[in-house]
Amino acid sequence: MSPDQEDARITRRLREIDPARTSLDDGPPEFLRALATRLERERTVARQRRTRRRWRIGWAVSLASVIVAVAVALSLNLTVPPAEASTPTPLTFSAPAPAQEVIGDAIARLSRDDGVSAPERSVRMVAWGIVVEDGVIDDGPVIPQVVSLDWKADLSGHSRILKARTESNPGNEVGRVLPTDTVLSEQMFAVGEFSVPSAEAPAQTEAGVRELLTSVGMPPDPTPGDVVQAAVTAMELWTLSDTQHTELLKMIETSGKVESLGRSMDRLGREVLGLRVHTADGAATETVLISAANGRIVGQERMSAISADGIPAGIVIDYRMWDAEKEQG
Amino acid sequence: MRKYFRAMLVTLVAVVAMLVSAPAASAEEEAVPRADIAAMMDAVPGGILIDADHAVWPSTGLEMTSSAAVTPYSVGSCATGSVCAFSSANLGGSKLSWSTCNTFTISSSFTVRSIADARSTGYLQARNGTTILATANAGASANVFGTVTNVRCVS
Repeated sequence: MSPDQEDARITRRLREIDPARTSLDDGPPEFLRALATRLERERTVARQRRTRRRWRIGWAVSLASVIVAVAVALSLNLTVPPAEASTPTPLTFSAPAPAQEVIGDAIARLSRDDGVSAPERSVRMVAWGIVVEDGVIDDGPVIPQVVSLDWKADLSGHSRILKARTESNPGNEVGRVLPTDTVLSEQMFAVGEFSVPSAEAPAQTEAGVRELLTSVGMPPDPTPGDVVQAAVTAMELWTLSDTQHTELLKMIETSGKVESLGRSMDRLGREVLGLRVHTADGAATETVLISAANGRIVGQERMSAISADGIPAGIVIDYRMWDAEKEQG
Repeated sequence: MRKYFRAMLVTLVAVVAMLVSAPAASAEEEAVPRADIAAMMDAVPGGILIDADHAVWPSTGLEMTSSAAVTPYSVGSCATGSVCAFSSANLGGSKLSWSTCNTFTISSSFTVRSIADARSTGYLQARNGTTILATANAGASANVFGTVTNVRCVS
C-alpha cells in the first residue's frame, strides 16, 4: 500500500468515527501517520518471524525424516542381523514311566513274532537337519527329506533323498509327510562302490550288534550318547531286526544314565515313548523314540544342549524317523 | 501442519528413491569380462560381451563361455564349488558347507556321517584330529564312520 493510499485509509477511518472533522480534508495528522507506519513495520516484522519459524519447523521435520529414513535404510542394508535358526519345534512328552520300565515293555513287544525277523540292506526314513553355510544358519522353512536306500551284498545299490512336503491338517493330528519330485541327492552305486564297513549281515546277538556298532565308530566303554550315535549310523545302513533292536535297547540301558521323557506323538503321527541321553561331551542330547505299538526304535532327535558356534541351546539339530514306508509316496 | 507433512513426505520419497535407485544404477554398470573372455576378445576382433562369463562373435558364430562358469555339477545338495559335511549317510540330514578351501573344525553339536567335495579339483578329508577317516575326491562323496572333529579341504 502506497503512503497516499495509507493516508486515505486513515482519513476514511477517522471520518467514520467523527464525520464532522473537516480538518481531515488536508490529510491525517502527522502522529497518526507515524503510528500507522510503526504498526505496519511491526506487522512486517511479525510476518517475517512467523515465516522464519515455519521454515525452521519445516527443516526440523525434514531433517528428522532424513535421519529416520537413513537409519532405517542402514539398518536394512548394512547391518546383518544374527541368523535365527528355523528348526522344528521340540516334541513334548507327558507321563514318563521309569526308563527301565519303558525299555522292558518295549523288549516285551519286540519279542512278538510279527515284526522284522532279519536285518535288511534297505532303509526307509524321513529326516531333517539344520543347514549351516559358511557359518550362517539357514533360516528357511523346515523341509523334511524322504530317504530311501537299497543295497546288496556286492556293495551295489541306490540311494535317493527327496524333498518332502507336509500336508496341512486342520485338526490336532500331525500332517502327513509326502515326497515331492525334487531330488536333493541321488546316488547309484556300481558293484563294490557302496561305502559300508561290512556287507555281512550283523548277527542277531548282543555280540553281533556290538560288533556292528563298533564297526561304525562306537568307542570302547561307550557312553549312552556313543551307543545312540553308533546305532543311528548303523540304522542308516540297515533295517535291523526286532531281536537286534532288543540288543540296542539293552546296550543303551546298561551304558549309563538314561532319562525317560514319557509319551508323545512323533512327526509322522505315531505314538512313541522317549528316552534321552547326553552326548559324551555334553554338547547335545539324543532322544530315542520307541514305538508304543511294536517296541522298535522308530525315531531319533538330536538337540543342542549348549550354545556354541552360533547354534543356540535347546534347538533341534536333526531328526530321523525310521520304518517310514508309508511316506515314500 | 499439512505443509510439514508434505515436506516430510517429499523428503522420505526422495530418500527412498535415492536408496532404491542406487543398486539399480550399479546393476546397470557395464559387465567386466572374466580374464579368459577379455583375452579372447582382445585376440579375436568383433566380439560382443553378453555378460562377464559369455561373449559372441556374430560374424563367425563363435560363442564363448568362461571356464569360471563351467564347473562340475553339485554333489547331492552340496553346491558347486563348495565342500560339505552331512549328519546322515549318503549326503542327508544336517549340512555344513563351506565355499572356501581350508581346515574346518566341526562343532561338537554335529555328527558327521558323510562328506562331499563339489569342486573341480582337490579332495576333502574327514578327520579325527589328524587321523583321516574318509576322503571325498573332487566331484564325489564318501560315507564316514567314526567321530569327525574336523574336515580338511585340499586344493
